[in-house]
Parts: sequence; C-alpha cells; structure tokens
Amino acid sequence: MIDEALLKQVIASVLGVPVETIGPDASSDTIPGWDSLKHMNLVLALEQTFGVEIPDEDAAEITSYALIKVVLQDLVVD
Amino acid sequence: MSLRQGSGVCILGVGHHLAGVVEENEELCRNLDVTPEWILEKTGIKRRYLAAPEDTASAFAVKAAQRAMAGAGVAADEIDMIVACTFSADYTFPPLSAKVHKEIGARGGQIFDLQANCAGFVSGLTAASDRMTVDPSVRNALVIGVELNSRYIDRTNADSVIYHSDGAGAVVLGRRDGGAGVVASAFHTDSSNYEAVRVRGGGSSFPVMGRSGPAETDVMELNGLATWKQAITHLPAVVKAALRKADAELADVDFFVFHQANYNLIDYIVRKMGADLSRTYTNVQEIGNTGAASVAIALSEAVERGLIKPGQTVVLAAVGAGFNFGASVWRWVPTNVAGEG
Repeated sequence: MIDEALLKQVIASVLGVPVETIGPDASSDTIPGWDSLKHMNLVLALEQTFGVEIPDEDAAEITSYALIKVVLQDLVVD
Repeated sequence: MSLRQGSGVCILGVGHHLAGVVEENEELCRNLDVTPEWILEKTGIKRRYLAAPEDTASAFAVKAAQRAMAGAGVAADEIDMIVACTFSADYTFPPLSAKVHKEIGARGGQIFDLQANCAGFVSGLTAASDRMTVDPSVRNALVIGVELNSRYIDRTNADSVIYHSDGAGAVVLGRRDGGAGVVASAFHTDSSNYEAVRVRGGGSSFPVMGRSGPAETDVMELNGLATWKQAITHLPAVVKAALRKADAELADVDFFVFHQANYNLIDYIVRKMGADLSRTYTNVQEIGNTGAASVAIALSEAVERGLIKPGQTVVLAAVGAGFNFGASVWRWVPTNVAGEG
C-alpha cells in the first residue's frame, strides 16, 4: 500500500496548491496549473519519493490522483 | 553488457548555419497575447533565428555542408551520397539534395531528400550510414538537416511561432578503423496523432494550383499537448531500444544530443533516464526549434565546444511529426568543425 498522505503532499507541493485540494477526484481538469511542465516535475518527484520508475507509457497518462494511485500501487513493493 | 563495435562509418566533420535575423521574445510578443516570461517558463526559449526574404533552404544547406566538409577534410569529388532532411526544400521537386550537389560541385553518386520532420536528421544519418555499411563504393556521405520553418508559420499563432527557427546543420560520414562509428539505430512510429502537427498546403490534397483550401492549410498547425505526450512516452523508449541493439545501457552513454524542441522536455527526458543535463547539450534556449536541422546544429555546436570526445559513446535522438522517433548510438572519433555562421 502506498502512503496516501505522502502522495497528496507530493502532488500538492509540485502543483503549488493546498494539500486539501488533492482529493480522490483531483485531476488536471480540476486543478488549474496542472500543465505539462508541472506534470513532468510531478512524475520525477513521484519516482524520487516512492523509489519507483514510472513506465514511459504511463508517464503522460497519470493525470489524476486516482490514476497516479493505481500506477504507484502496482510499482511500490510492500 | 559492453558496447558493441561500431560499423566503421563515422561522423568526420560537422557544420551549421543559422539564419541572420534574430527575434527576441520581447519583439515576438508584441503581436501575441503571451509574455516573454511565459515563453521562457514554458519552453526555455529566449530567441529565434529567422530567414530573410532572399534566403533559401538550399543556400543554408550548402553553407552548413561546406563547413562540415572543410572540418572533415573531404572534397566535393569525394562525396558519393547526399541526403537532405527537410520539409521546407526550395521546391516541391527536384530534391534540395540535387541543388546542394550542384552548388558544392559534387560529381555522380546518389542524392535524395528525406522527410521525417524533426526526426529527419537521425533517420537520414541511419539511411546514409547503412548504405555505406553495405556498399564500400560509397566513400563519404553528406547528411544535412535544413529547415526554413518561418515560411510556414503564422506569426500571430503562439502555438507554433514561439518555438521555430530557421537554420541548417550537416555532417560528413566517412570510414575509420578500430570499431568506431555508428553502432546501432532504432526507430518507432505512433501514427495515432497523425494530424497533431501538420502543414497541409502544398500537399496533393491542398494543392497550390487553383488554390481553394482555407488559409489555415498554408501554415503550420501544432497541437502542443499531443506532441508532448508523444515525446515523453516514446522518446525514452526509442533511446533504450537503440541501446539494447548496441548491447549498452543508459549508464554507458557519455553524451546525448536530443532534438531541440523545448528545454523543459529535454530536462525531463534526461532525468527520466537517470542522467542529468551535464550529459547533454542544449541550444533550444538560444536558437529555438530548427526542425530537421535541430539535432545537426546541436551536434555541431557541441563538437565545436569540445563537449564530445573521441572514444565516447554518443546517442542522437529525436521526435518528429507523424509521430516518428529515432535514436542512434555512436562510438565517437575525432571530429572537426570549421566554424559556425
């Protein structure tokens, strides 16, 4: 299981928004400023924080909290 | 793993030429609803180089080619193949490579133009080096990337105008012993976003003769989001595929030269592959995106600055409209540049 509090903290920090705004429905459609530049920084920050390598085919697609969680859960070794 | 031996087909000389009109972000933004700071933040680009009305793609190509030939110490009568990578040739036909052949005074041999947009130069290098590998009668090849992007860009359309410049880069391929030269290449195509980056006008569906198409068919249309998604998905993958063919790993690469489309994208790609910007060279901040010329110009400048050394493992990689992707792995040999322009 991934640490969801930590995940929300990383996403909020990279996107420059309050952590309270990162709920289950958070996505690039609901958070202004979640653009391609911030998304690249987010992918790299997630890799560094959780010690994983996000597959290239997933990197551009994980544009919501829910999708990030699904991909990270597959990658994080308990 | 240890890097395989090279084919012996090597890059012996490099050269480039940039357009003479420099346009800073501040000047460009007078006609746009974006700011210089926004362009800098999103792309890293500070300025562009634009062709004057009298400039031609072939003249740019010839200047870059002559510098590469001078650096390599290869004369026109020793060039048996010319590949010009461009979408913006002087004419629809004959090929721009034929004009270069005429202007440099080459004799005989093979010429062709190659159109793979911004991945064109990497594709052209592989086409030429593969020909040289199988045909010893091809002594040297000239591979040129040249683009006059500005002739296809609406200067009030921020989607495309903030990125693009005009210029040319060239290399001379020749043979050396000792396991140097091109080791492997890999390519990939994802055509699902075929329409994302395009110039329709002048193609046979929107012919110049009896022009009836809407005005937007005459200019470059660019979907930045689709391009970005394609690049971050497939560019690292094609680099890794080329390295696998070369029996090498990312850690074995001393230096990367990427297509110069967006500084932030290059920063992401190198970091995603476990490297950092010290193992690559970027000039997109200073000259923008020169299309098929971009890798060639960046390579020429990197050599000129002494950033690539003999014996090093070098990867060239690019993404082009379509979308198509290419990467090649090289064992570097001493390479000369005869000066920029």
